[in-house]
Amino acid sequence: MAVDGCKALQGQHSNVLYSAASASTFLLRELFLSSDGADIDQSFAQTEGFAIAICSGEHGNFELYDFTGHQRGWEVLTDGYASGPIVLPNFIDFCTKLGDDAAEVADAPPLRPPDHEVVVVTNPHFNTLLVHEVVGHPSELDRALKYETSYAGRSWFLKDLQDNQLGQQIASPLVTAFSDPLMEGYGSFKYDHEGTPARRAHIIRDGVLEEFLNNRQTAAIMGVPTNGSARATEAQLIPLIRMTNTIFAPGDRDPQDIISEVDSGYYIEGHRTPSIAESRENFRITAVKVYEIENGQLGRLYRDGGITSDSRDYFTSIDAVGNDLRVNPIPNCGKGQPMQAKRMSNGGPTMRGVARLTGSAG
Amino acid sequence: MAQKVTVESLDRYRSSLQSLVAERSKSLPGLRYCDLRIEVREEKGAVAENGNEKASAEDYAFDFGVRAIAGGRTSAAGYYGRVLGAADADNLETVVWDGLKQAHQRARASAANKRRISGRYEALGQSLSDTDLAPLRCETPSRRPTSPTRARYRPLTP
Repeated sequence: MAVDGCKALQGQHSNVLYSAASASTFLLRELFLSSDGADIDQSFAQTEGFAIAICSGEHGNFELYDFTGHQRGWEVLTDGYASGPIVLPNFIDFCTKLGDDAAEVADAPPLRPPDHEVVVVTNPHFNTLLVHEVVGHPSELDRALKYETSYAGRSWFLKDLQDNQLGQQIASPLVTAFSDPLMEGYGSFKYDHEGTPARRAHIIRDGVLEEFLNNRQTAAIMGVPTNGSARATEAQLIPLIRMTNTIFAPGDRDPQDIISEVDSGYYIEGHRTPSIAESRENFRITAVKVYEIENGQLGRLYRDGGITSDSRDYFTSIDAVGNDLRVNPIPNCGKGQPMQAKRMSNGGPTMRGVARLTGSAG
Repeated sequence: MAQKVTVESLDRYRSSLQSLVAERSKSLPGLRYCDLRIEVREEKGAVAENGNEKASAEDYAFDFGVRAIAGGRTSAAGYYGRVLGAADADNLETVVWDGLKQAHQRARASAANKRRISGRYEALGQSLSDTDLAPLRCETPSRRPTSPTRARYRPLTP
């Protein structure tokens, strides 16, 4: 399967310089026992595919990689999987599309960013990384309480216990984000690694910051109920506060309408690399593809583009949220010292806001 | 020769480890709480590069971690974690008990230092408070995840 995926990556493209693919699966069983009487026995089956392609182009090489996977067996890769907001092609189709995208973008001209803010329409795959970096991480209460300041940074959601954004409007009323281990996804479970029953944590509701992700110790400090967010990558490691299935909630707009209402702007498709401020109060995230939008139509494709903004300003500018929620697997979220790489899901619908573009052409 | 470790191997230890955590741990002085996580992962995978086979693997992982909260007037948490192998399977209770004692000693040492240092710094010392855990809601979640889960909470006598 890995070889077939790798060949699919190369496809018929003459500009593929390097390709690699992997396929893996595991069955995990965990026991959690405590002096309080907890006796929890959970099992997980997870299967994952990874693909990377490097293509040459007139303006330099272009590298693209992505993951697919779900809490199922090999059938996730052989057959694909679709259920609600989770839409996963089979591994060969996944690799074929990634190779096609890499080859296409490599040949595109670099984006020359305007010197002013523009209207941006971000697609679900891009918002997968946006919600991860700018909503999920700053809502982790160990980070917010400054347990990891020296190596990972703090959170603009909470300066201190008196001066914080809880109950404040930090986003447009159209923006809701939550973390829910009980919905289907890569970060699903029934009990966390402290034996806390899973439940949905409402991080942002109608634009108002409502809740942090916590563990039993930080919940006690804040005097709030636990929400089951303590998880370790392996049993030998200390559980950290982690996202689960953390997403922007869908709205009610047709994504095509969201684009067609834009006279002049940009369509931001697919996430690549994040660069986030120390307290996540601003961000820069690069995209796989950036298209011009003119008179409601997608135009020219650019490479090496992305968006940057003050986090609150960007969330406040959101004026349309699509009904096309997609939830994607994130297998490699790094956190902690020593580093733990954890699996989870992130996602969102199409959204429209205002931001500055980034690009490599001056 | 040591037996192969599989996810079913945990059936063999579950009852004795529960007893160790819930009952035997009471012999540790000043222990307020402890928990144990133990897991087995069976995995396989393959990698290809430039259209050719590169590597493949079939393996298992077996490891555990414990947390103890202990102390006198002031409490603190101590942790211990270890990777296990098939050779540990025949004396797992001893290995876990040794780990729990290590975590307990670390918790007591941390608690003692916390108490000693908190008096030395007027403002910052106040941040060195007891390690408390928020209570758990014990109802069973109404929706099922994608994998089978079995859990029970039973009240313990103090």
